[in-house]
Amino acid sequence: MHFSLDYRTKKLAVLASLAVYAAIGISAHWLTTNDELYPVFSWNLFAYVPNPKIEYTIALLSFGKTHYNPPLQFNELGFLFKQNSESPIKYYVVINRLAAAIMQKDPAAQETYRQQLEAIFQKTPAQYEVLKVKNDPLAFWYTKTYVSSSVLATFDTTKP
Amino acid sequence: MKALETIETFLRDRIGFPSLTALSKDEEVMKKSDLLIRIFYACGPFMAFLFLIMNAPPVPRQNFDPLWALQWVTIFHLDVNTTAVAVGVLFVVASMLALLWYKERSIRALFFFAVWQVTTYDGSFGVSTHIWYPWLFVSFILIFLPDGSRTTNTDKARTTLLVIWWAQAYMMLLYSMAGFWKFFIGFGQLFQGEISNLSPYGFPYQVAWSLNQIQNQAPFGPFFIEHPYIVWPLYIGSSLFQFFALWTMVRPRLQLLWGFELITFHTMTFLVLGTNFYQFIPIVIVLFCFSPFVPERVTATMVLYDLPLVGWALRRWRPTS
Repeated sequence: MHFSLDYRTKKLAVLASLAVYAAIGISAHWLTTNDELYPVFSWNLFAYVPNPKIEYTIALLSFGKTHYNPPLQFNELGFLFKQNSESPIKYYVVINRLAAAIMQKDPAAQETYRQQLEAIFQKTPAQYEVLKVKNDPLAFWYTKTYVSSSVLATFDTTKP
Repeated sequence: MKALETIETFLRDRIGFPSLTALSKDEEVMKKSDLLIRIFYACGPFMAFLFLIMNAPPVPRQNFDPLWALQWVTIFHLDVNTTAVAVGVLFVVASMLALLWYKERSIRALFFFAVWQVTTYDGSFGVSTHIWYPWLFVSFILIFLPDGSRTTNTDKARTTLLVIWWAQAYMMLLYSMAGFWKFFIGFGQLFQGEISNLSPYGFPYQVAWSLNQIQNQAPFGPFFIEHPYIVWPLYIGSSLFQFFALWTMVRPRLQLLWGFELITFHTMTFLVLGTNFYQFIPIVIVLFCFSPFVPERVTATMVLYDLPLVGWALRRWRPTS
């Protein structure tokens, strides 16, 4: 392959490529929900501070033959993510989508996101609650409790 | 072309952009350039081996859903385990070939293709990931290096430097964009009366959220949550380093300092937030600790005068350097 561009044109192309990358990356923040127009990412990472607000989470009622009372909270489910070598952030996104589907009473979407979420249990029977919580991250760090919490739905992986 | 002339004049006369044509006549600079390229491709087999280790079957990750660039997997009905091995072996083979014959453009293109497959595989589990992007874009940019000997031909030599500058500028652009968002969203939250990353409790909130929700193990996390006023200047300083990263592309005497800071940044991100971006570190080391644009002699005074904000203030106060 032979490029016959002269040096000055190459310089212009390099500068233009950087400008275009920056423009696409920054636009992706407003044009997409995940800050990405593949393969250009906005690089918006850890910029937003999670203030006290409403979030959605899960609490595990049982896993296999073990029952949890009180239920295991999301921050205590590290053993599930470790056995899958997965980041909980992926399931945090799925949980939010499942919660939205529950509130919108959309059974097809619920089924989709339940399947994605329940993959984490690796076919071990489990029961869990989907919760709507008010989370203050710093208060939770010290007290391990949410400001407020209510159950949106309870699911059993062995039942539809 | 008039626009280019205006940009060139501005960069040369107002910003002090280094002349790559002049640098390309310096034998030492060209030797450093060749070394940088060789080290980049020497890192390839190591990265490929790490990929193989981390994706060894049985692949525990769930919800494998190949992105479009990995559709051959669907055509050949390959499961996730076979795909992981196939992509890993491709990466190993391509990186070994690139280690030997990195001067051949076709081999560099093959290396880029392998990294592209790795990046796509990594993002095919339902959530996009960005940890391989520096390898993806830098290996793409290095395809444009001239073939054959680079030191004997002026045009090839300066094109080599231009391509290295391009790869460096891409990396620094990522960090500048990350810094931009920290201030843009920070001021946005500040004006809305929320806790922002400009306030002393901003970063402790982020760390607490990460350790609670993402459940990362981070040995320094608790200290950072509990000592906001110690952490605050470090966080703001780190954000400024990110924001001004691109500045080092016109002030190359700062590149070594920025290289060290960025390695520290990634190390601390892991120790404080448990977020692992280890793929960035070899690229930062190669591009900025072996940069051909850093002069042999760099003093602390030169660095101070080149710094953004501090240097600008110094030049006004004592315009000697």
